[in-house]
Amino acid sequence: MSCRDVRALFSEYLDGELAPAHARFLSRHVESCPDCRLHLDQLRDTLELVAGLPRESSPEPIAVRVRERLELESRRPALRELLRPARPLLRPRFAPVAVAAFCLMALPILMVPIRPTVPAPAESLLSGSESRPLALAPGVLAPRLTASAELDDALAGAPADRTWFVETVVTRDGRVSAVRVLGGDSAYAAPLAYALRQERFEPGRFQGRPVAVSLYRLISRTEVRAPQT
Amino acid sequence: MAAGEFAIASVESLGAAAAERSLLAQCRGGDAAAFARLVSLHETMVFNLALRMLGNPDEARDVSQDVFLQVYRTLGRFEERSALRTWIYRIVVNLCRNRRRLWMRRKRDRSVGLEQLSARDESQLAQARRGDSPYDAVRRREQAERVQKALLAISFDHRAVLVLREVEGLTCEEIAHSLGIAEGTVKSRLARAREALRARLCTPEAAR
Repeated sequence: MSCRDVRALFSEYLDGELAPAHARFLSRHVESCPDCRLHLDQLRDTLELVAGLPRESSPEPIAVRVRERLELESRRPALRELLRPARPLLRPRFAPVAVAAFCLMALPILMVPIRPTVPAPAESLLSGSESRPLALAPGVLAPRLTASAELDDALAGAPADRTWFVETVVTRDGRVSAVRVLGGDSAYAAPLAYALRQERFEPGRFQGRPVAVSLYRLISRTEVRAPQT
Repeated sequence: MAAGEFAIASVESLGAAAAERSLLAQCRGGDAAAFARLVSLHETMVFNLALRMLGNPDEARDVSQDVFLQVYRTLGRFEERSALRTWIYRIVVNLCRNRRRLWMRRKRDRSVGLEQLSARDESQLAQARRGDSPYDAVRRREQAERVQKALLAISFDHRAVLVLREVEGLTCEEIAHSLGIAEGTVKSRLARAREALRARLCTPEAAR
């Protein structure tokens, strides 16, 4: 058995999973081969280093943020109903020929952001910092989008007619400091949040000063089809 | 049996399994406090696994949130034939993989190793080992940064088995069930992952 063959068994050897005869052979080889001995020692040291990685704490309490998101969702039962995938009976039925024709004529998939106006609680008008952003309300000038997100890429592969409800905090300098996907298919929440963080805005304003603003948006994935002739 | 579950046979785990079943039943009954307990029981594990997989504390925090939201929404599908922990591992790895794929598609790997961790309170490490001198604490932090950087340099699949095995202490069987792959695949990936990391950490050429 060559040194290369012996080294291929090191992982199982360290786990104690080699058959006794193989393990004895390997031990004898390592005793007599300085290169393999060094290799095995390095492997042991490597595993010790990985196992010794420190246990870290999250920069923010995860439990609190999870609870906030769940509470927010539970306060919006109507929204949950809206986000529920369409029932088969409600989906349009097309004859196979018509479907094929539609596919040929289908235009590229467009991402259509919808921005419902969310009334602001009165107390939120007292702030406007990143930690206490304002909601859109009379007197609050909404942030204006200057660089949009590449949502096509983020939601590539997502089934059509899916919708996500998203909260975006736009900072006083027009960046996106936080994105929370409050509803919709969670499998796409991470890429969607990542994409939306790349957006840039002309910041929102209240009484002439730039303020951080929370935007609530429904992001829909809609296939736009050519009309039937 | 749902994906990611597997049978537990060890006697010592029976008490913990019973407690877990009770907690799960409360969660399914809509007990918010029970779910908060479930999150607090597992959040350190989830955050650390995501951190080792992604190398970025902010991303790890976001993924951790998504993990628990997915746990909450899919708790009904968990059949309790395995430890909840094993099931959660699978969700963490899948969500980290999704996030990683997005980065790769954009060709913008935003992982930054532990540089961001080093910007956090340095006393954390020193506090963790109160007997350490400041020199020891700094040395440990630098060593952790070097190991994390090497981990991020190996493939996602290799990193997943290595972290689950060496950091989380799972058996190859548990890893196989957590990741939905054959045990033999776990062992071969583990051997290659260990060797790749050894080469990164112990040979000067690879470390550059």
